[in-house]
Amino acid sequence: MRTQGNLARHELIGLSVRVSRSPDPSVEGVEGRVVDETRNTLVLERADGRRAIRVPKAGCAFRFALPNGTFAELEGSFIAFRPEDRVKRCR
Amino acid sequence: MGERRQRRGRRSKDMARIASERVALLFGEAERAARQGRSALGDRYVSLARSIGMRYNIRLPPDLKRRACRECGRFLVPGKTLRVRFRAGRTVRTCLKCGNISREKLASRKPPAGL
Repeated sequence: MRTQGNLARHELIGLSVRVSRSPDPSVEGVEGRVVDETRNTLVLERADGRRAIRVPKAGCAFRFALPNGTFAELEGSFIAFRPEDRVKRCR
Repeated sequence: MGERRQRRGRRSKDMARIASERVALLFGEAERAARQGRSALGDRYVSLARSIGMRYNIRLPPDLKRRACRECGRFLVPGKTLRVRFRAGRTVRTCLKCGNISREKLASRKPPAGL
């Protein structure tokens, strides 16, 4: 089960997230669902069906909405690994 | 968090648990994507689930295994990418994308819980 403690190692795809901080102002504050993940990016889809955005993990902080109602903030640089690697390599 | 020294290459129970949870989650997302007609996304989730399963040496549960083609790795949707028939006491499942056929004996299987 995805909790605040283990989110860094768990599946991010399918979660709703907001970019809470980013060096790129056009990306900051963006909200969406995680649709895919790469080593360096998260791909989000926004509610109004606009084209999906690819947000770099580096330098950004993300606020994920967990299924149990709570939120978890993750620092992008801490999860900058391939999705399959994160189970092993993230704190 | 105190980590006991692990034998090289061995996964911990923790990692194994998270891995199998992720696999199940991904198949769920693949289903959701398929319902929206986004087959490419569903295929991608299957391939990710497979990588995770291989990486951490997790056995995929048989019901999830059947939802993906063993040959081409696509997410199978009965009616769209999968043809299911019964023949001679077996179920014959044909992947409509790559043509791979898998057969399973029906034997005395109980219906999945909830039916």
